[in-house]
Amino acid sequence: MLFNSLDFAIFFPIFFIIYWIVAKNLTLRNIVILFSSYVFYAWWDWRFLFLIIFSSFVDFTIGQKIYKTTKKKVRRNYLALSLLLNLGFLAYFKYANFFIDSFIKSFKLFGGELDSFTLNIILPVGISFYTFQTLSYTIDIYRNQLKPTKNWLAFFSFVAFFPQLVAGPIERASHLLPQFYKTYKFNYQALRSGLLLMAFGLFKKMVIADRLAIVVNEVYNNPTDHAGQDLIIATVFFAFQIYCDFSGYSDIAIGLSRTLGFDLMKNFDTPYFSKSITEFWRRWHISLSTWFRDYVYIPLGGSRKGEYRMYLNLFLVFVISGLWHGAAITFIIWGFIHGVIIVIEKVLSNNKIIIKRDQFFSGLFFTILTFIIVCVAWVFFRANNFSDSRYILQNLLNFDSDFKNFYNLGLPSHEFDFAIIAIIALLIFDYIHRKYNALKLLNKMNFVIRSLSYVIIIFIIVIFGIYGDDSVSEFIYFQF
Amino acid sequence: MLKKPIYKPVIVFLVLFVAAFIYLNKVFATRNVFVNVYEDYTTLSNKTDIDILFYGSSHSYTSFNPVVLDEICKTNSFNLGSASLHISLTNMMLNNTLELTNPKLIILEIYNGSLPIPKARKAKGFQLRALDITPNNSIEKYNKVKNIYSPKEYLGVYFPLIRNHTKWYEYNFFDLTRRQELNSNYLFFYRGYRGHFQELKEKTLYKDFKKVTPPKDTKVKFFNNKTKEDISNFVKTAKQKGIEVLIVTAPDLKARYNNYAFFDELNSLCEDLKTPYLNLNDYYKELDLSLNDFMDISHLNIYGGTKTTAFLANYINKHYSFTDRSSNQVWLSANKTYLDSKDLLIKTENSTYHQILGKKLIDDVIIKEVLIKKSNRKYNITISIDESKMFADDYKDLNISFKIFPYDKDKLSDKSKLKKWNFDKVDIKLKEEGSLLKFQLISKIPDIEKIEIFLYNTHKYSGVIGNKITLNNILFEKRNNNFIEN
Repeated sequence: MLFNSLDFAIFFPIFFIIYWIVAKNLTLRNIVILFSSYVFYAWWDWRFLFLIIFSSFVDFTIGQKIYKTTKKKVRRNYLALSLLLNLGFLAYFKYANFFIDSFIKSFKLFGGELDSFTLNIILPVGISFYTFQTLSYTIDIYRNQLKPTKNWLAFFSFVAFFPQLVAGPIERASHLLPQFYKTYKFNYQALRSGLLLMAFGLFKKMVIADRLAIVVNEVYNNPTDHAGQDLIIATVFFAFQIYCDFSGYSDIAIGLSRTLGFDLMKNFDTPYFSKSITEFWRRWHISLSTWFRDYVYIPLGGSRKGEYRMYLNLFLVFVISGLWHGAAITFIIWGFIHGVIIVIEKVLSNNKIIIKRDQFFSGLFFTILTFIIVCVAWVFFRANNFSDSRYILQNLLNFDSDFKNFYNLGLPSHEFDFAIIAIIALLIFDYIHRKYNALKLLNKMNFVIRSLSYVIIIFIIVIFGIYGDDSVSEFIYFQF
Repeated sequence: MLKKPIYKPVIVFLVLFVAAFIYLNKVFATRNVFVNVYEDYTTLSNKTDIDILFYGSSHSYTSFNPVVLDEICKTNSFNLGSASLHISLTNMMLNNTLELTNPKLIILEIYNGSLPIPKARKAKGFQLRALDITPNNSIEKYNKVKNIYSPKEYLGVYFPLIRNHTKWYEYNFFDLTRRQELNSNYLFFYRGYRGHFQELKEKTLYKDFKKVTPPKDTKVKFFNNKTKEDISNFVKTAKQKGIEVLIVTAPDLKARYNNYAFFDELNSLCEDLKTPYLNLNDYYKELDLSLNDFMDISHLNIYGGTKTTAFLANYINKHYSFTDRSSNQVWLSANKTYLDSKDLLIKTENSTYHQILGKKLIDDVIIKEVLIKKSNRKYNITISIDESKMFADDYKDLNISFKIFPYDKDKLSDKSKLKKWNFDKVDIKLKEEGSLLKFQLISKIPDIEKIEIFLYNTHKYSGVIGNKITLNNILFEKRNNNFIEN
C-alpha cells in the first residue's frame, strides 16, 4: 500500500480510529499495530509477509540466545547465524542475478564460455530496510548495548511497524522498540503537527517529485535523443526528484508515527545546503549513514587502526552503501564517487588544510560545488545502465542551439515553469526551515491562520499533485 | 478523548475546508456544451411550461430542432439529448429534469450504441454530463456510478476538482461560468439542439443507404434485461406523472448496413410497454433525405435535422394535441429566432460567382480566375494562378488573405464583430505545388458587397505585399461556368 494512494486514504483513518480506541490496552494496541502493518505490507504482495515474520522470529530468538550465554564463541556463532540468514535473504533476493551476471562476464573475460541466464526473482519491497533494522537489534545485543525483549508482540510490531516498514527511517531497536512497551495518551498537538508533516511529505512527493519524474524519465530513458542542456536539466530535476520523493516519504512516516504517539528519527536535514560531501552525508538519509557508521565503519576499525586504514574504511562504507542501493555497477560507481570525495575531504582536513566555508561567498561556492558533485554522482544512480551514464556525462556540455526544447521534455510549458517555481519555493522553504523550523512556527500561529494554511496546503496538493488515471507512482526508495 | 479547547480550531478548519472544497469544485467544473443546454433548460423552465421534451443521445440533439418543431406545433419544446448517454443515466436525467417542468409529451430517442455499459474512457466521460447535474447525495446517482465506474474513478466522477485538476492552468478562478463558447459559423445551437453545417465527406460508402435490404440476424440481442428495465422505468416514471411517451430512432446512415434487427427488437419492446414507436429510418423517402443531409455517417446535419423535425412535428400534430402557445411571449421570441435563421435551416441550391482576372498580386503571382460556389453559409473558393510563373523560394512565407465584405454588417461572424472587422476572412498558404488553390470560408454573410485578395507575410505582418485585388458587384448565379477546373 502506498501512502499516496486512495487505498491508504481509506486504510489510515480506519486504523487511526481503532488504534486510539484500544490505545490504553498495550497488548491490544500492539496487536492492532501488528495486524495493520501486515495488512499494509500484504496489500503489495502477501507472500513476502512470511519473510518478515521469519526474519522477526530469527532475530527475536537469536537475541535471547545471545543474551543467555556468556561464551564468546557461542555468542559469535549466533550472531553469524543471524547475519547469514538476514543477509542471505537480502543477497538472494537482491543480488543473485547481479552476481550471476558478473560471474558470467568475468568468466568470458578470461576466455571461458557460459550461457547467460537470470533467475526470476521479485525483490520484496523494503527488504533492505527491515533487514538492517532487525540486524541492528541482534548486533546491539551482541555488543551488550541492548537487552533482548521478552515481549514477542512488541518486537514483531517493531520490525513491521508500517509507517517506516518499506522505506525507513531505519530505526535502532534501542530507540524504537521501547516505544512499544508503553501506552500513549491522545495528544492533539502531536496529531496536528504529525498531520502537517504528512501533508508536507505528500506535497514533496505528489507535487514536486512526481512532476519532475516526467522530465527525468523522458530524458534518462532516451538519453541519446537529447542535447546537453536537456541532460543537465534532467539531472538537476532528478536531484530534486529523489530528495522530494525520499524525504517526502520520511516526512509522512515520521508524521504518521507522531499522530500515534511514536517518535521516529530525523532522516533528512536540508541536504542541498551542504558545503561539503561530508556534510551532505550528515544531512542525507541520516538513518542509513549512521547505521553504516555504527555497524560497518566501526567494526572495520573506524579511525582506530591508523589514518590510511580509516580512509580505506570510509571508502569501503560508501562502496557498500552504493551496493545496498541496488545490484548494479552504476550504484557501486555512485558509492565510489562519494567515497573518493569523502576521503579527499578527510585527507585535507587531517592535513590541516583549512578551507573556509563559513563566509557567504565561499559558502555559496562550496554549496554549489557540492551540489554539482552530488548531481554528477546522481547520473550513475539514475541512468538505466553504465553506457547511458557514460553517454550522459560525455554529452552534458554538448549544447543544442534550440533552448526552447525544454518544453518538449514531457511537461507542457506551464507545467515545466511550475516545476521550476516549485523547486525554488522548496529551496526557500528549506532555507527558512533550517533556521527557524517553519513547521513549528506555523503550529504556534493563531488557529485561524493555521487552519487557513492547512487548507491551502491540502488544496495545493489536490490541485497540483500528480495522481489519478487509476494509478499512483511508487516511492523511489521502495526498490532499494 | 477530545478536550474542549480543540473544538474551535477543528470547527474553523472544517468550515474553511468545506468552503474551499465547494468553491474549487465550481472552479474546476467541466466546461462543455451540456452546461449551456442545462442552463438554457433551467432558464426556459423558469419562464414557461415546456410541452415537449427530448431525451436521448447525440442522435437526439442533432435530429430534432425545437425551433422547427415549435413553429409547426405551436408548442414550447426543448432537447435534452446528451452525447453517448447510457439509457440508465437518461432515466436519472428524466427524474432530475422533471423537477423543473411538467411536459405533456416526452420523446425518447434510443440509439443502439448507447445501450451497452460504457467501457471506453471517452464514453465514460460523456456520462459525466448527466451525473454533474445530479446532486452528489443522490442514492440513484451512486447506484448508476457503481455500475459504470471502478471504485478508483469515484472521486473523479463525484468531484470535478479531482477530475480536472491536471488542467489547472486552463481554469479561471474568478469567472465561474462554464458555458462552452460555440461558433455560430459552424453550429446552430438552440434549446439543446445542435445543428452542424458540415456535410458528410465520404459519400461513396453509404451511397445506397435507401436501397439496401436490411440484414436480419435475429440471434443477436441488443436489449438485455437491465436495458429493458431501464427503458421500462423511464416510461413508467413519465406515465406516472401523466406524461405521454413516444420512443423514436433517428436517421442513421449505418442503420441498414448494421443489424436492422435492433429496430425490430425495440419495436417489440415498445409494444410490450404499450408505448408508440417511430423508427425514422423507415421514412427516408418521406423525409426526402440525401447524403448531403448528414454531417457524418451516423448524425444528421442542420438540413437533415430540419427535414426530420418537420416530419416528426407533423406526426405529433396528427397524434397529440397541445395548448396553442403562439400568443405566448416566449413562443413569439422563439419564433423570431426561427424567422431569423430560416435561411440557414434549409439547404439552398448552389450558386456560383466566376470572374476572369489576370491580375498580379506580385510579379510572380498572377491570379487568372476566381470561382466561388455558395450554399447557405459556406463559400467554396477556387483561385486559379498562372502556372507559367513559378513561385520563388522567397514566397514560401506568404499567405493569401481572402476577405468578403457584407452589405449588412449584422451578418458578420462573432469573431469579426469582436475584432471590429467589417469583413469575414480566410487566410491560406500560398502553396508551391499546383496552380489551383481550393479553400472554404464559412460565413453567415448572405450577400457580398466586395471581395479583397492580397498577400502578406505569415511570420512578420507588415501589411499588404504587392497589390490588393478588389472585386466589386459580386453576383451569384445558378449556372455552370467554364472554369479552368472543368
